[in-house]
Amino acid sequence: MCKKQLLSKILEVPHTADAAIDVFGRSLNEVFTNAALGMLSIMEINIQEEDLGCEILSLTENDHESLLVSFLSEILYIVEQKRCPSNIQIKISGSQLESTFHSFPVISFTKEIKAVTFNQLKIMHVNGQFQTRIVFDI
Amino acid sequence: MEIKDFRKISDYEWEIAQDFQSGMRVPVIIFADARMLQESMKDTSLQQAINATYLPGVVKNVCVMPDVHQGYGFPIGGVAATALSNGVISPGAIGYDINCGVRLMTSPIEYKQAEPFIEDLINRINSLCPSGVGKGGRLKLTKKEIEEVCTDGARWTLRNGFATSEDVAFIEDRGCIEGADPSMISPRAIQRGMPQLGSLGSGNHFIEIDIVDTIENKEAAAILGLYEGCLTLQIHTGSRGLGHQVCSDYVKDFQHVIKKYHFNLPDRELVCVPLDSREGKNYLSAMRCAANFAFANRQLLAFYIRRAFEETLSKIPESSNLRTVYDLAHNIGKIENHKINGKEQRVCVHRKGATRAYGPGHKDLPNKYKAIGQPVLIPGSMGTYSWVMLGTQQAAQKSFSSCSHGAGRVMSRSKARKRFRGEKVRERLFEEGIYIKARSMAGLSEEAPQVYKDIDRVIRCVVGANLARKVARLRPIAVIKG
Repeated sequence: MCKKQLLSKILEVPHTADAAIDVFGRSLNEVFTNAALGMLSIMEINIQEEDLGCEILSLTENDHESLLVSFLSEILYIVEQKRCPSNIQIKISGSQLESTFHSFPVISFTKEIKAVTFNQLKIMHVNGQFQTRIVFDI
Repeated sequence: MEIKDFRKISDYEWEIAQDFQSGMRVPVIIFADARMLQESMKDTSLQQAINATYLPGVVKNVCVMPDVHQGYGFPIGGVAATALSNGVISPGAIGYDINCGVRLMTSPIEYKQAEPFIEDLINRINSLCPSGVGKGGRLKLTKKEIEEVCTDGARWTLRNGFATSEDVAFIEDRGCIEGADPSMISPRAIQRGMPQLGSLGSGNHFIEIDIVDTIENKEAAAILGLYEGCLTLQIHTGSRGLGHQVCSDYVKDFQHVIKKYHFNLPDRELVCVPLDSREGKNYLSAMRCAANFAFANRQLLAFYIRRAFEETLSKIPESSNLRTVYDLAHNIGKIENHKINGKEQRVCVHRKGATRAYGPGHKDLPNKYKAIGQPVLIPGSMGTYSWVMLGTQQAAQKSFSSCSHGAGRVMSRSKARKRFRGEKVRERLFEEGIYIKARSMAGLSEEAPQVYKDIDRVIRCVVGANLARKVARLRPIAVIKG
């Protein structure tokens, strides 16, 4: 996805102490993918161009919001383990998520995200588009 | 919200009545002057305080400190106490950086003696104390050792030669909260903690060398070991990835558990369970593990800083005499006794960006401080003063013995990055006589002094509301930003 397309799907929202983004998508899968891309862009990750291979992530939660928090928390953990996910593909079926991505070695990142929060988290379907706000603890 | 929504109690205390919004269980008390109150309405912090009043079993009122600002669910600078008998515990109301806190150390070394060595000193501290995004500590501990740290906190550092018994005596809870059970934290939390003990982290975490600039209470300052013109040092950090994981795990698990309790909460981040439930007890045990890890983390950093003082200031007598004044938590849930409507009650005090502030005579204070009260450490930004205060007996009545934890942010990080350049911030502070060491210039711009409230006004409110009294003002001369 080119940067211009991405910008229209992720908006940075002012937050006094932490970080927040509004994320949009034509489908749940797209919202989840864009949420991950938005979070990774906040972290400003510097990667090495060496494909470490394909990884698969499978998650089950009771609702989509919990699924989103779990998914993003997993991505955060993977980055802390010095691998940066790229080419993220997501398939959500009911309360299950399967994601495949290629990971690249992390050289450094500028901002540490402590956690993905449930603060006022609600995935909405408005005018044929999915959207949500996500607040991160910095 | 408008100013008319608040009942003025005094120049520094305001109330949002319980009937302001349907579902509120108690009122909100805000400690602020009129201008700070107005400014607090610019973000969602006061709505977040109102939301906190929905916690089942919350008693008396939710308190808001003068440094309040918007958090994620619970405001930063918020305090809520819940009854042990029928109340809840909320991990989100304590925060992800469990036992993020501050340590103050003092030295008999006068600044004028140390001045030629300050740059070397801050460089040496910087090389011994890992800081910044993704940076682990110097120790690489095993799973078993991390579990011992979680159980014993700063006592582990004492046993392993990283602390003196005097250090441990002057840490809140003597550096170890009883009841920590490492089996209640996930393998991932342990794994994340293994490389991180003795590291500063990033964001607003810092190590700062200060000079005692002004003494306001000579007698108390002497008891604390603070003398005008002498060097002091502050460490601000917490429980690192281990604490973040503990909170994340329980906030997520409680989303499922809460369904059986049918609680009506305005924000899922305030998710909670009864204190006397199995899940509540498990979280308390896990939170205490992270709190103990944080006590040990600050102690290890203190150990390396002491070494840097010895090495760099070896020509100055007493260079090794860097004494812990106090070490306290400002993101924590504590079981304490408080008087509610004239009756002593056991409660869980949730402090999120708020410091405990016991007044004189409290049984849990070190003997040396019993007559004066608990030291309350309120750091300013890296370019402004910090304050050493003492808790009061009035704070027990007004705020569950709680006080401000800092200056409080007023500007978002993204706005700060657009408005300030890290290099310029560093240059300007250098011109003011403050050395800055920072891993990231972007991070430095986010922490520019202008993004914080005026610390002197925060202190005026704290004193005006009788939550704490002044002892000494500290002036920064060198800062390491994470």
